[in-house]
Amino acid sequence: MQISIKGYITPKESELFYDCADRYAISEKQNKFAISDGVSKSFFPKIWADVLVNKWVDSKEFDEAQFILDCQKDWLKQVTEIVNKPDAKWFTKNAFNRKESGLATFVGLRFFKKKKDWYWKANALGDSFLFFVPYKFKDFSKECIVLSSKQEPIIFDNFPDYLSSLGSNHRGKKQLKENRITDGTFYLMTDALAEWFLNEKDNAINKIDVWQNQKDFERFVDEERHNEKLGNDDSAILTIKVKEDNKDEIKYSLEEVSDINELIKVQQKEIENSKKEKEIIIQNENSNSEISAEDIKQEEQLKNESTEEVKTEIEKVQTTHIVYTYKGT
Amino acid sequence: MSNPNSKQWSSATPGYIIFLVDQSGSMAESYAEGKSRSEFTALVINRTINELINTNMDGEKVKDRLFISMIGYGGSSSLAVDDIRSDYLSSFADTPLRMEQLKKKVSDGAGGLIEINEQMPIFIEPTANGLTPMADALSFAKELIEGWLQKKPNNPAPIIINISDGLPYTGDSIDSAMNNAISVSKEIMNINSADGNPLIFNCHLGEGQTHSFNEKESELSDDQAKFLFKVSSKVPESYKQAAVKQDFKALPESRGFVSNADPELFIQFINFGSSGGSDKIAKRLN
Repeated sequence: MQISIKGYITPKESELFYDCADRYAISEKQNKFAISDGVSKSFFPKIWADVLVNKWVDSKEFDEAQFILDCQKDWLKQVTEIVNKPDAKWFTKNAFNRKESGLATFVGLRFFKKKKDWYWKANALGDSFLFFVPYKFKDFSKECIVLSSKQEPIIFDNFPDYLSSLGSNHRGKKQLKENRITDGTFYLMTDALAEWFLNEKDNAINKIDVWQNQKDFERFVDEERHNEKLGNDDSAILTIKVKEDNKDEIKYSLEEVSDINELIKVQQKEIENSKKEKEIIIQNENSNSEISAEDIKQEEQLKNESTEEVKTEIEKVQTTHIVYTYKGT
Repeated sequence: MSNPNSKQWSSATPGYIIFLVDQSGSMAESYAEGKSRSEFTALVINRTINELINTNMDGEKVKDRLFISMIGYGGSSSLAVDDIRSDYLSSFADTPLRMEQLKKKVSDGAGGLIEINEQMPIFIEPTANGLTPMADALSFAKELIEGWLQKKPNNPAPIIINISDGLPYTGDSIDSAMNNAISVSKEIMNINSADGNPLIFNCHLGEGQTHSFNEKESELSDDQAKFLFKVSSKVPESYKQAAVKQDFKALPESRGFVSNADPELFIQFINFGSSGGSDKIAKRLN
């Protein structure tokens, strides 16, 4: 069996890859794939989504209760380290003391062999989706397999089912599907793309097929957001194309699977370079003139800004800080 | 417009809330929990901004999905209108005026309660002095809104939350001050944006008969409530869920106001007004 995989991910408009709380992971060794969407207003959702997908694809034997406990332990360890840093923010400490939790949706897919045949089994919780579209389908609506824990009629709202990083306050009931593997493509995606996919139907397949790399995907996301066909949300997708070749083993080819950590590094480097360029411009402008205290302050500010705190858009309203004082009559 | 005032706050399109705060001399009167009206108002605004920070942070970082102005009227001098602070949410989080230490009881996850230490940020201090130049404060808010929408025409329609303990008064006749405030309010509520008209919600603090979210002026018995009705926006569909969540009866023509609010009603109203509508309140997962 031949399997080719593509994976792309991008944050909300005007946010950084660093802010993106979607995650996916694949394990060729375990024949497992997972995607998760960290609920943006929960506590450290990025870490929670990351732990869930990576631990899931790496696990060989599966005990669900133990899996959740292991993930929760890992999330808590990472979060505790952050909270205990001397520069931890007051709101981070407050939320930690209040025992706030990370929340995330989850879809997991695994391939396994039963006697001579290969099977797939998937589970889903929340508004992330798995779709399977058979090769050379005739009627998309009838033949496309859909898995999520969203109930029919599917309405995308702000109340997804989720796994919680603390205790047993998970929400919703996990949905399962299992089938023999046939030629076709599995699509694992988070909610904004899933909503778009359900609206576009077979037209979505044609659009996805043309993406050759991360940039193609980002261009597509920009266009569809601009056309108001795609919601402004973190967006991630894994496509897993399966083709039977009558051989016993699975042969993988990773066409392109974007790594969120690499994307974050590249973007931070770009931001740092841009800041350095600004510093050089300021230095050049000041080289032949006296430097004022204000100039020094500006340079110091530039140096002190951490990349994580760089805002894509920080501007105040024109009238900010104007004080209107009317004297009594 | 199919669904006005429904655009979601986001980093790409931040929302804008303006708190108009009556800081006139009468706000020094006793209100609740041993606090004066101005002290209680400052407490509620500080808690509200703290809550907005909590719901817009992912652990370490506060997302700038919201810009906030706190405008005081009265206060620094008899007819002053002061921009106390205007900033993005992350700036409020990074630089509060000061921090207070609180003890708070929270669930221990096993059915019990434990006491924890919590740091409470302070962004506004109580002030009570001078008269009630509400029309001037609304005029200033109008300028802020026009400036904001000029730069951000596709953002959510701004929201004004006006907190006061009385009718406008600038030393002349109350009728004239009221008419001025009504006139400016109507101008604000007629400003067009891609997300509909800006909203004005009014909260009046007091001890008399309470009115809230009424549909008709004729239902109201006193001048205070009639005035609030005139200077308040109709509650848009996108805010109805938020109103219900705070136990307000939001009818088709309800105006967003409450008169003679006791402390509980005051807090409920501010929660409603600062929710940003149903879409945002729905995301407040616990």
